[in-house]
Amino acid sequence: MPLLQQMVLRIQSGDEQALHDLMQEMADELLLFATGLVKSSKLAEEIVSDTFVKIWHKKRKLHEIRDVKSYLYIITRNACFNHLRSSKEELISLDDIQDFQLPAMHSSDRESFQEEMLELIHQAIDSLPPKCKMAFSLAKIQGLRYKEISNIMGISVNTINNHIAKALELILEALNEHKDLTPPSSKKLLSIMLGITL
Amino acid sequence: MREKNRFEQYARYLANENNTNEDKSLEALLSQDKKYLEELKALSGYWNLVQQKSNSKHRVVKKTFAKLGLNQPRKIGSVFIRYAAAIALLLSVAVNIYLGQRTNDSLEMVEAQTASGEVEEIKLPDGSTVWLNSMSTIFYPKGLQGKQRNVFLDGEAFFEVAKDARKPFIVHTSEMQVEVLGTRFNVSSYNNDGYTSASLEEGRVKVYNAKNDVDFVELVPGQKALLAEGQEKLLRSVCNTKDISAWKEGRIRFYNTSLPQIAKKLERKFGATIILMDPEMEKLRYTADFEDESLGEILSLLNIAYDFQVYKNGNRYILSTLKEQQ
Repeated sequence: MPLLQQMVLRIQSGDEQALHDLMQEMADELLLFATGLVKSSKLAEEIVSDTFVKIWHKKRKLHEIRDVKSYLYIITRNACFNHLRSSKEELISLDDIQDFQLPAMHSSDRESFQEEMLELIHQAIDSLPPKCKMAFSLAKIQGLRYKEISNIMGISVNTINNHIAKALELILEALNEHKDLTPPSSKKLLSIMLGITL
Repeated sequence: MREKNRFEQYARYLANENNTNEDKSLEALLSQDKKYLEELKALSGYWNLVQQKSNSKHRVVKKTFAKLGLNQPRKIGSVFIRYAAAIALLLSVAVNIYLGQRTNDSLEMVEAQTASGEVEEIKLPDGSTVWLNSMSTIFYPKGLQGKQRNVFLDGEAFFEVAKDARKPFIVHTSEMQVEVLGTRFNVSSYNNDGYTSASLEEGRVKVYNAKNDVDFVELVPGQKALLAEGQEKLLRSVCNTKDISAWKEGRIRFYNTSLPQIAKKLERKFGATIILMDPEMEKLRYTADFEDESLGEILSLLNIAYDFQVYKNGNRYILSTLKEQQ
């Protein structure tokens, strides 16, 4: 049985340690996702903590949930939407999202050249439509499967495929542009990307 | 290959979504032009960059328990994964304990765990000594009471068992049980290694297949029992008694060992992540002996025998045989 499913079974029986374990496993990625939507880490912490509170309150009904991971994301997503709507009457959907903030990537190496390149890539991705950014972030940073992203975003696996391909294309463009500025050998380029300290 | 397809193929490859057919067509694409290989390499470099960890998670845990009015459990960190594994293991062998003990007392378990890079020496209540290798868990009923001395292992340990002819000492893992009266032996049962093994240094042991009671082998010193993932029967083969407990002294010895297996051992010892970039490397085998070398030194020594590149990014090491364009 998958680990998350095991935790859910334990939560269902009222095991507080299991709730703790579930947070250890899932809180980081839910925080990144929520921060991407509401753009405040403080607020994201509040929202994600509420997600787990809901899980605990609903623990008797958890057996009805087939995909725990997607479920956690969807509760979090809805709470973010709730926060983003300007009035109580207004309903918000994924299409109304103006922006999705991509978490900054870090390399262990402190070369300025490298930071510069990451900055360039980040700018390139940042110019993408919010849904495309969100799909990319969920696949790359959260490491979710296409199927899970499809559940969370309510779009087809095919569309996700296109979104991520588009993001990669832009990243490569940014890389090539940079290569033109300072023509490094491909080895140098790769070493920059991988943050080598050989 | 249609040009516009290329990025979708890269995407599926990086997101681990590709099936065998897609693997083949990606291979075909990459062999067409060096350019594509360069592209994918650059992209995977970016893809593998790690997101910096925050301490927000900790605050979420605190907040949630506060909101629920519950006390926060004591256990923290990644320990829980092995904790869960331990529970599963306990369940799978619970029947055996019950049959072996037949006591009405509830079982209080004593547990010991090691993190990556740690080796812990543990004295058991019967006078036996256990050396617990990195990232391993061992647990046993308090006082080792009962008709048998049952211990449960997830990971690797070397046992020096005190003699007690009336009370057999049994090491339970999810795949095999090792039964002894008094002896020195090693059991390795990491669930990500794809095999479980028991190697005997001294004395005599009986090794049982946990899934099949009639399948067992008896070992004499210098022999080992092996049960590989997906295999149904125990295999008996030879081992070098000097190598069995080398890890206890911090030495790492490999005898004709494949690079993926070596990588897993090194990951546990050094708490690092080692990624093999191309499948060809999985065929590499080494015989080597290391003592005080750092992970970087070990990798560059392995690198002398076969030519590959080592890229380091924080705690992540990427090994690649792909040649660079000059």
